[in-house]
Amino acid sequence: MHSTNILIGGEAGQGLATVGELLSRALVRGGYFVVVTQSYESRIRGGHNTFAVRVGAEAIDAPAEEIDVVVALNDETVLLHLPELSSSGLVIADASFCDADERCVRVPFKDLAPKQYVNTAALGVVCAVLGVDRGIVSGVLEEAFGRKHPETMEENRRALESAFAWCAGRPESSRPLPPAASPSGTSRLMMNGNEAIALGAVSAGLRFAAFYPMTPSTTIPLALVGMAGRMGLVVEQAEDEIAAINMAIGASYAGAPSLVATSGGGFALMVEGVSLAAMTETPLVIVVAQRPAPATGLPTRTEQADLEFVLHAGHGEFPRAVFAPGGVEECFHIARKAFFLAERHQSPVFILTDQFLADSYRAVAPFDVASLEWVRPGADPAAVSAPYLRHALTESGVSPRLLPGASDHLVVTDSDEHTEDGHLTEDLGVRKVMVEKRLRKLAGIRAETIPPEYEGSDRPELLLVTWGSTRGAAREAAAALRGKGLDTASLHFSQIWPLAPEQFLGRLKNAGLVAAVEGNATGQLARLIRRETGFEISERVARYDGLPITPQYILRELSVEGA
Amino acid sequence: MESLNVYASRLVTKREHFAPGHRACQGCAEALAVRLVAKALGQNVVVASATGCMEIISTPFPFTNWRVPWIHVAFENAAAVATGAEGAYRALVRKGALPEKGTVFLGMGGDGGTSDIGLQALSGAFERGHRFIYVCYDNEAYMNTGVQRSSGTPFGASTTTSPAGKLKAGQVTWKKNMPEIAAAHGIPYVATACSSYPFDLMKKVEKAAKAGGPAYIHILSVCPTGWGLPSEKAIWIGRLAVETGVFPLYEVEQGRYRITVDVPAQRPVGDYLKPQGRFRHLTPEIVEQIQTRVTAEWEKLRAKTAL
Repeated sequence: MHSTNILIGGEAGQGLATVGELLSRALVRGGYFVVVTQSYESRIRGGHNTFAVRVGAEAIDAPAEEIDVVVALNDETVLLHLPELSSSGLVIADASFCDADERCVRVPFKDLAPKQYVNTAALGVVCAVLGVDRGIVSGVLEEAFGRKHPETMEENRRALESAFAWCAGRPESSRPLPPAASPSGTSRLMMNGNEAIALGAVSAGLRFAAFYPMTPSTTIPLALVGMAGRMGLVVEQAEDEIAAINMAIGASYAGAPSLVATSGGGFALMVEGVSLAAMTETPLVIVVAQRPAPATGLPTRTEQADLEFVLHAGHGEFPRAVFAPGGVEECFHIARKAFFLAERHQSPVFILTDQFLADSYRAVAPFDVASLEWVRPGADPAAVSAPYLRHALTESGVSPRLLPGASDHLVVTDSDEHTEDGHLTEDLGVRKVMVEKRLRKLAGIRAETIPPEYEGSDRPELLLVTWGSTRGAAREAAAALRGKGLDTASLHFSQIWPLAPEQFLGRLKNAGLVAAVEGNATGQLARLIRRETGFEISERVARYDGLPITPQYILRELSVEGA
Repeated sequence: MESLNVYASRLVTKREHFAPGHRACQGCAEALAVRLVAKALGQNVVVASATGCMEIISTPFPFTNWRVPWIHVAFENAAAVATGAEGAYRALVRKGALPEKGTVFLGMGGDGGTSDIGLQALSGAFERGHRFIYVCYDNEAYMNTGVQRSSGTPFGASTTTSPAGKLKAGQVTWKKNMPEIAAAHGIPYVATACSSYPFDLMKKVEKAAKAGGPAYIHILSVCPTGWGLPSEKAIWIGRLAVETGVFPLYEVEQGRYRITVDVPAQRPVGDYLKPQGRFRHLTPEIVEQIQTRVTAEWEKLRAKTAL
């Protein structure tokens, strides 16, 4: 798969994310596909941060390791990333950073632009090297700064111009991208996983979100805040995660489709609320953006180690659904599904994402939002006869949910075990039927389980099993192995619970060798599959150093020759 | 006063227990406050620190600063962990397993870790009556995660989650009065401080260490990055916070209020607000609204000192 991997490196506070976002936007607008990997340290200033943009003329959905163009905003970046450079690779750096290496494009930045516009000049140089149309870059720059800082636009434009002019005389340091497969003018959106979750939630009818800031989840509420005025949402920053989840339960009880977003440590505080939502049968969507733990762990890195935590969080027994979107577009669609599922089955529904996917910008086709349905919370009071029973026993386990104050009916629910009308009871016979009623809802949730996505032949020699954000890396690794003559397939789970073994057990059994590719140390999905099906996945590709799984990592760990 | 300050500086030890070389932003007055607190407490101290700027900037190897026993805990529980350590220490001393060395136990957190997520644990620790100090380093927002508002963010300040725009002029609620909440527990010692007044700050820390029960110190810690200030203006703006009456320096000793840095002729609040980027959008009407509130709060505080 042909692609070009550009890495921008520098210190926190140097503005490399801004350069990276503008570059990605220009590429997306030029009709290219991108996969962004942001790697940053938990530092206020300093440290070594990178923003990598893998760009392809055709669809790509995994990060890559080998770098084709390094944009070094400091000298440390040159030293750290020279070894990762491909054979025809380039380093774009200030003339003072690298003098000896012939792979360096030594840019006299101080001649090209005043100090505060050096980043714009760097953006200009990398775009010129890649052959990105100057008009597109200029347009992207104008959108970013034109309205907010009109006074800087003239200088920005000049920095861009001098960068392009400087590059024009250097054909030897040009690495033009192949023409984009889609005609320019094809409109695609640039969006990361968290923005897609926020957008999906809003499109499904989200009305209330509560949160407490925690990396890497905070960009979900921030995206919601940005839409709140136009879409009529309430977004509340609470004093902690306990308050956040309980506010959301209150809002949902009152009739507002609700969401909370957090990361592992914050979710630990929310756990009692999960069980309250289950007991009171209140719909709730909970997004857990994973990062390496225990405790504060590596707060700005990525991992997939909270599967078992989320699967078992909350005391007692109750049904739930757990999703793990594999890409940015899926983040949107799964966020939508989560709201419908939560409302239909009056249960907590989880979306597991991670830092890599949360921060990873991609080019996505615009969603046809006009045709999308949204959740209508609560049942029709006209169809309910008095006396109203909030927790009426039904065959499906789902009782008609009326909203308090919206009709003449009294809506009572209770965290204690309760009778059908929602009042506390110590009747142990009632207890038994209520446990069974709640658990019956799992069959309904299970009937809607998303089948795992399978790609490959019917009887492959090797099958790679993945969940969540590792989907793209596994599919690309499988394709690379097929190219080398090893019949390899991939099986991706974007829903982790409830599992429906009839959807995938045959695939596991038909493969010669099965390997679970997971961003954790203990093989949490593999263990869950064994528990549910008895099938033992013998091979593991595990990553828990805080970095996302790449196709190259999978190939190395499988000890198969690299692609 | 000036000549007295020159003399006061000679009485301060040169020994640092919060060593230089941390990774804070230039001009961080919060890191300075931590250094002054550590200086005042000396070597015989155990610190429990909540997640936040001060944890991030002082602990990544090799830029570590702590020369005293130190534990980083979760976000909400610095007061609980500090008092757990204190309780264990007293029990071990009682049983003769440890010598009584008068060790001081210090819990610390930012405004978020103190007045938002950590308030319950802090209130419980006060109520249980532990002999410990809790210091809140208040930079008036969640600076560590990118300037989100906290309940310590002042009215009118723009943050990423209380942005100033056409409809709203930044933060819409008044700053939570943490020192008064602490004082309402009836603990032996409560004080406010600011690293722009180092001797006042250190004196209060010394008093807190000898309080014989829970002590609370609330330190206004100027954050040039989050407040939109040139880094060399941190000390100056801290002084303005006090001189305008926005952040009065006082102490509550066994229930008795005393203003420690008196400002007979207060400057208008605009002097404090105008230089800061986070208040740039404020209209004269809102500045006036803030002035009215600051004056009223000052009068209330004055009335308490007269009791």
